[in-house]
Amino acid sequence: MAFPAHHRRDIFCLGNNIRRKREEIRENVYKYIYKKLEPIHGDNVPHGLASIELCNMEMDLMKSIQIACKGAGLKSIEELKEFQGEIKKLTPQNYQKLKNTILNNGFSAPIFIWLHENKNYILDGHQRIKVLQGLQKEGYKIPLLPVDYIYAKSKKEAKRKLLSLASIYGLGDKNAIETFIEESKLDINELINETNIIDVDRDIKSIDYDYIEENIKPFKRTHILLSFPPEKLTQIKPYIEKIIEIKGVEYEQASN
Amino acid sequence: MPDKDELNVLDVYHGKGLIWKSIINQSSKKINVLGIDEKGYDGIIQLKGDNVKFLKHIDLSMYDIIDLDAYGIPFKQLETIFNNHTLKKETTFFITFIQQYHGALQYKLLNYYGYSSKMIKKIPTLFYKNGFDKFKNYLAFKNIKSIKYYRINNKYYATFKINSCKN
Repeated sequence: MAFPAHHRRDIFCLGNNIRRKREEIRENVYKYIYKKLEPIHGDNVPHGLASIELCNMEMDLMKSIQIACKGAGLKSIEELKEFQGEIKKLTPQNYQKLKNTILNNGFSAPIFIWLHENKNYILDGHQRIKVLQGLQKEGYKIPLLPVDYIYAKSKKEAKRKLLSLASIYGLGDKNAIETFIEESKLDINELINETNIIDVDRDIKSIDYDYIEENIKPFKRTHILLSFPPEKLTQIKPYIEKIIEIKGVEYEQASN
Repeated sequence: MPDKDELNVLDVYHGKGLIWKSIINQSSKKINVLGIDEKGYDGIIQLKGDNVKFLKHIDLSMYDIIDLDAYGIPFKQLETIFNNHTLKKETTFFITFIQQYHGALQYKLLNYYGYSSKMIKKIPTLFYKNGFDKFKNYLAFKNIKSIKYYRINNKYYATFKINSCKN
């Protein structure tokens, strides 16, 4: 059946209106970004900064990962190739700490990559990528990631560089770290959840923990475990309601 | 720390002994540490092996402090210590208690609270809640009158003293 001509005309007009509206929005977005960047960079807004800003704006509208650094280039997470095998493991605790730091502070340092035969091998940043992939599964949109290029002539040299990048050469000095934290007025509780520079839980001696002193007495409770098929709940609910009204009775229910 | 110039410490999860080494460096007291650990480390002299086996037979009357810095719940170790007749009054304990959210608790610990093993088997997660409260209750059953602790996330660092003992 042919589509009536007047309907086609209406749709055409509507399409034009949408197009015009879209261009208007785009123009406003550009104006907004340049208004933000102009005071800092003047007329010479560095190449790529506007797109980072645009990504960040997009991110603001949804569950977002903020990009808080600038690299020599930008790559999507899908373009980055794992290169270090199983040499490092991320414990669930450290995964959570790294996730917290990315969510709280943004993505703050470029990934180091080795560009070889059109493939982008990660030399530094595997754990961050792992966490970002997890966040992606949770529904976060991952913007283009800043990358820096590391040169290597062969896979052997690249792996050697990877190992040196993965090394931690400096040893943490407890006293110096303590002073650093105190002077910077950083929140120790936030650091515990974000870093593992030292075992802050235990090692920083000057933290004033809130000790709880408690007198304890033994007691036993009488427990009644009710186990029943779900459909029976309606039937027994009035009885349970009556029982839990009795003073001293506590009710707790397990989930399925 | 007990008010004595010289202290004997039994460090049940010794590892490389770094924590006690750092305490010794900072303290004016003379501290002698005997460590127990499953693994052996180069240059570190300690009792190597299952700590429960050692705790059954070791003479605990020598120690002013027993340190149970476990990555978990040192229930079995405590049970063994409480059953060791050489444990003396006034011994100070340092304990680390770590329970992951709804992490498992030993059935025997829950039995003290009044839960039967049959009930726990039926729906374990219901009974694993608030592990530290249940742990405190266990200590109370063992005649511990008071406990001092602090908490960071799911980790509890606690200290208590033995008020009375079997012998």
